[in-house]
Amino acid sequence: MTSRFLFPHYCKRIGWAILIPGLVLGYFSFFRNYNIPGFSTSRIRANNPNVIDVQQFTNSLALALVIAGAMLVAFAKEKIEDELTTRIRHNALYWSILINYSLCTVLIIAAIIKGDVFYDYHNILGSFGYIAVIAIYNLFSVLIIFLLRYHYLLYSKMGQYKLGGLSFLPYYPYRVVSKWATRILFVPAALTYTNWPLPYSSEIIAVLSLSLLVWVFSRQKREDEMISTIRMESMQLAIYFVYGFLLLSDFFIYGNAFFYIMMFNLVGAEAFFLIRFHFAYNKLLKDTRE
Amino acid sequence: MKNTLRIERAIKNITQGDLAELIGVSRQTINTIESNKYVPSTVLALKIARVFGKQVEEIFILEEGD
Repeated sequence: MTSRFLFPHYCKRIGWAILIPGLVLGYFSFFRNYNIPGFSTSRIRANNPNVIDVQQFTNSLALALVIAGAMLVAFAKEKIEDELTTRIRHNALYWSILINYSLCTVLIIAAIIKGDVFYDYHNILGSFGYIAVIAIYNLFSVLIIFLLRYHYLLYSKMGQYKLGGLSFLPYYPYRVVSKWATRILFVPAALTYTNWPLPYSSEIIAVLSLSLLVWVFSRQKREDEMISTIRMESMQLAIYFVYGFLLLSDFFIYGNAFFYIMMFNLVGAEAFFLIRFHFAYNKLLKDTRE
Repeated sequence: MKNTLRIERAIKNITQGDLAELIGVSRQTINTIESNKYVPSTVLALKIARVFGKQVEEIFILEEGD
C-alpha cells in the first residue's frame, strides 16, 4: 500500500527552493529585526491620531515560505515511491508529532514551575508571554523535526532504509483516563482566552496538553494493522489540515487575532487527528458490521 | 520471518536493482527486505514470488515466535 494524498516528485525540489530562503528570512526577521523596506502598511489609529500603527509583513512572508516549502518537501513523492518509503514517512510523522508535542508540554510545565505561562519574560519576540514563545516555535517545529527524522531514515544507511518501530501506550489506563481528562478540560482551557478565564488556567492548559498527548499516543482496545493504517493516515491529514489552515490565516489574519490562531495551533493537530481517527474508525466498524 | 530472496536472485542471476525494477519498488527496499529488516505487504510478496515463478511460502518463511 502506498500513501495517498502526496504531491508529485518534482515538488520536492520546488519545496527546498522555497524552504531555505524562508528559513533565512525568518532568522533575520525574528532575531535581527529585519524588515523588507516598504513591505508594510501604516494606518493612523482611529481613537488617537498621534499614533501610527505599522504592520510589517516580513515575518508573515517568512512563515508562509517555511510552511509551504517544508510541506512540499515532506509530502512530495520520492522518485520511486513504494510501501517502504510510505512507512518511513509515517514513522517520521509519528516521531515528529510525539517529540514536538512532548516538548511543548514539558516547556509549559517548566513555565508553570518558574512562574506563570502568561507572564512576560521580556523575550526578543515582544511582550506576549512565555506561552506565545512556545506557540511561535510550534508554528513550524513539527515540520522541521519531521524533515530531520525522515531524511535520517532514508539516507543514514548506505543502500538500505533504516526502519524504526512505533510504540504506543497501553489502552488501560492511559487511553481511558486521558480521553476523559481531555473532554473535561477542553472548555475550561478555551475560556482562558476569553474575557472569563478560570483560576489555575495555566495548570489547566498544562494538564490538557499532557492528556491530549497521551490520548493521541495510546492504543485502541484492539489495535491491529488496519487500525494502525487509519492512525497514520489521520496523522498525515492532521498535518495537512493544520498547515493549510495556518497558511490561510498567515495571509489574512494579523495582530491579536493571529495570536488566537497560534494558541489553537498548540492543540490543533492533535485535536484534528483524534476527530479524523475516530471518524474513520467508526466508519470502519459500521462498514464491517455483519 | 526470514526469506530466501538473496538465493533466489543468485539462481536467476539478477541484481537487487533488476528485481526492484521488475516489481516497481526502489533498490533500497529490496535490500531492506533481504536483510530481514522489513516484512513486505502481501501484494509485494506475491509480486516477488511471481518474478521467481514460485509460491510465496517458498520464499518467505515464518520463524518461531512470529
